Amino acid sequence: MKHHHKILGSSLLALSAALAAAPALASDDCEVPVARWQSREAVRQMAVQKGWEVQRLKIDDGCYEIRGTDAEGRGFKAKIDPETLEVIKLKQRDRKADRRGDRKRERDPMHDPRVRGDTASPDKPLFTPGTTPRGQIE
Amino acid sequence: MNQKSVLTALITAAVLASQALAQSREVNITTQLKNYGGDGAYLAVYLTDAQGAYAGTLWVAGGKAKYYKHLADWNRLSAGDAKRLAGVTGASVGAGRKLTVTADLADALIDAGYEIRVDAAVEDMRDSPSELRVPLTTDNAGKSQAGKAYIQSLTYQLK
Repeated sequence: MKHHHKILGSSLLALSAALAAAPALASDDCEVPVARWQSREAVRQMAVQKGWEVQRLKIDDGCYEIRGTDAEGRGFKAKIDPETLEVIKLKQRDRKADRRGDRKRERDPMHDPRVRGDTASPDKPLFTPGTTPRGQIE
Repeated sequence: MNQKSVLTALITAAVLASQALAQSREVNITTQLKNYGGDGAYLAVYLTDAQGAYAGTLWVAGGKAKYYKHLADWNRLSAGDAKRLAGVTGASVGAGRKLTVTADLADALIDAGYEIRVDAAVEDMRDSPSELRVPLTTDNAGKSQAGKAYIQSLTYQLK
């Protein structure tokens, strides 16, 4: 019986050690002091440079978190380091949601811009390749 | 390769290069806003083709994507263009200020039924989709056009 207690004790010890270690391994929190954080505006500018359309910008687990669509129009969620503005984690929109969207389009063809016909993306290049329009406010 | 064929190749290259240069034209669109006494205006400057279908976005003034739905015509027409905002966004334009957009447009778009359209929206004020529509023609270049609500004048120059 005493022997059994010993085994139980050591296995409990191993289990608790494993549990304690698990969050540390899985963590992708940011631990940057507030003084070194870049502004929300800087994050938005970084997103614009990447061609992202930001739908929501919030702070989660000490990191900035952006929900939006990328330059190709795919939905995503990204964790951003508040000091370096590096992308720590990027999660594309889940396929289940996409399938739900497809089914919705099948039910309602007018939901699909391609069917409506008035939102066609340009086939021929509008601008000289390699150039983009420039805007300036005076 | 003899001298004659070298000369022919050089001439062909020169002709091709001049054609490539002739295929695009710089367009300068200047939009002067009225002193409407409100916040900065969100503006979408875009092109539609001869059938009225969306052709492309030249500029979107205003940084918050959540307000783009108020630029209703542009938002609806450009919904299928995933790259509608690629590199063409900037700050909103204050009342009484001037926005100048410069783009190298394909020559084939000029005098071909294309239109420059501008949608405008201001916080707590009335939205103005298709605030202004101007045919993209050599005749119209340099002529001033007035908008419905917020744009005092829009003029474009072809170079």
